[in-house]
Amino acid sequence: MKKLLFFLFFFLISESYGKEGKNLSGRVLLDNSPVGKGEVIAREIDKNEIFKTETDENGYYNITLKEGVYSVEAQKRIGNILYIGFSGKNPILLKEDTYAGIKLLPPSKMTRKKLSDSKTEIVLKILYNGKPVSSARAYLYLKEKDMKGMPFFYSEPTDKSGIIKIRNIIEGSYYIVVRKKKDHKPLGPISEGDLIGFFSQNPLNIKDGYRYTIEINMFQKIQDEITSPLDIQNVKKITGIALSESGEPVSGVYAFLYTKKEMGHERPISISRKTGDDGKFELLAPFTGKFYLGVRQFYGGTPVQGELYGLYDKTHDHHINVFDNITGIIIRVKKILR
Amino acid sequence: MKKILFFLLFIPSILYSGDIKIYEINGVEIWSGERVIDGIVVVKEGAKLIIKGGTKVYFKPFDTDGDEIGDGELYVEGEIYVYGEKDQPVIFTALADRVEPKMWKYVMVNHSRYAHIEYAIFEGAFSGLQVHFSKAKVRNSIFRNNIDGFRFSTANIDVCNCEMRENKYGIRYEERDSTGIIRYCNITGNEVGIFPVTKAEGKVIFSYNNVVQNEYNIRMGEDQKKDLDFSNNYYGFTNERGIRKTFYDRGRDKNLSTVKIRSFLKKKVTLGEDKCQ
Repeated sequence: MKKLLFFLFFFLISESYGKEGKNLSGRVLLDNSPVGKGEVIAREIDKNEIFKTETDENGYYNITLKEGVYSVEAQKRIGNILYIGFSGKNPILLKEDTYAGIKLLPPSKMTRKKLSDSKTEIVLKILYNGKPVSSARAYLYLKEKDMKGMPFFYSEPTDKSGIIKIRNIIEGSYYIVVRKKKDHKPLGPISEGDLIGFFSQNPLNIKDGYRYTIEINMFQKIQDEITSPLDIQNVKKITGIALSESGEPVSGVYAFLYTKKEMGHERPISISRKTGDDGKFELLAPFTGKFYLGVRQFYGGTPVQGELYGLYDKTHDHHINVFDNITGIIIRVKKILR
Repeated sequence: MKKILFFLLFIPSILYSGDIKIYEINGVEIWSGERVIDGIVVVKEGAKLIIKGGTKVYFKPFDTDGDEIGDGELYVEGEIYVYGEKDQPVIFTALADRVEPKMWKYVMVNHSRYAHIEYAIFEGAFSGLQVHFSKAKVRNSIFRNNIDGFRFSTANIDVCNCEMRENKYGIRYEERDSTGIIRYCNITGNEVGIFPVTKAEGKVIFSYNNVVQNEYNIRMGEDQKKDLDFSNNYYGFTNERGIRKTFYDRGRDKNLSTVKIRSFLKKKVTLGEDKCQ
């Protein structure tokens, strides 16, 4: 009995010793100048705990935290402008004393302009070190906690001027992340050297009839992701082709996956990229189960008269059961009310 | 035994979706006499259903998903032609001694090339008739004792000489790029006569209707942002002040938009099939 108590005592001492605080330190810079009295925030991931400290006059900070996984950011208000920065090491697995420098970036600039119709448009300009970033993509999420998971939508790559336009998003709130991956794959873990950026006023609340022009600054990842941002194990791929009534491939349409039978009036759970000349599409189902599948010409809002539209027709209500990857889907499209 | 029922559904394929029977119509089918629907009848794209005058379509009340709405429905993605006659209407109703709302789901016309409904009676449904992404002509028909009498969105509709009565909503719609006209109809005795839920821009015209004796003749939806013009109808009053009392709009709730009436009819509109020429 005494031996057991001794063992337990020794074990508890060892455990508490192993969990004593670790030092997270670093320096916060803005345009390579130190940022004094900047706020540094460490969020313990999945635990909703936030720890804060302040930089000294030379921009250095030091905070003792228990072991865990943290996302570290810094901010400093200068005049009316709130500068925000994220550690390129995020998320940081704090198992030993760690250094994490942070470069502050200007906040995302945004303007909103009323359009003459009820469509919506997001125009994103992506910058790194003040220069346009080509081949970056924007990722839209419905919930903040999903921002490292399956996006609701991801865009085509930005052009040479760093611009991408996303049209006809359905009204609602979206968390916007931009990424430029060295492997050029739209999905998958972020690696060292990749660029990443966030809309600093996330989430963006989109209303019908407006164009949102947003400038987002990126920073460079200086460490691989600790965890994969996408649970690829559960994602199933659905591939197929959109055909016209005469059997020709249809370009310029999206395939959509919904969780509810009443398609068209709700937000889809997954959207393909626009079909090319071959009419082929690829959808990613974020989990297995029953979905409703269709194809339409425009992204967002209720389908309109004259729009190309088609539904999966192998089931009476257009559902498709997805338990594995599915290939060879054919969807015939025609114009609504024509 | 209330009636002798003919169960002559010579429908080519019967499938199941969970516990619900699915009957698919893939060619041209003609209905007459009496029909019992104990599942979902789907008129597939490219197929055609013709229902002759005097036909009685009974929906067997059943509720597999427990949402307190009957699951029986007639779902049309092909074409439907309901050819009732004045003395021999086509009746869509529940297979029950006492017919109440929600005993069956709806006749749904969705992504259909064309629907023609003439001298039909819809009763005991969640929605008597729903039209979406389709073109539909509805004449001389009665919608009674449903939750929604007639409901539509993104449709081209032409509705004339119909009666919507004793429903929760006589006409409920999300306009969403719809066009068309609703005229010479009696919309009466409903909780709400006309209910524009959202996304209406006034492209569907309501004129020469009697919209009277509803709890609210018109109720604006909470998400209906634009004011809407419902001029040239009879609302049971000869002065605007009286008429406005029958609306549930910005006058009662500052978060709602306004029902506009530039002009209104002071006499009840005389209806008749001759008005629909």
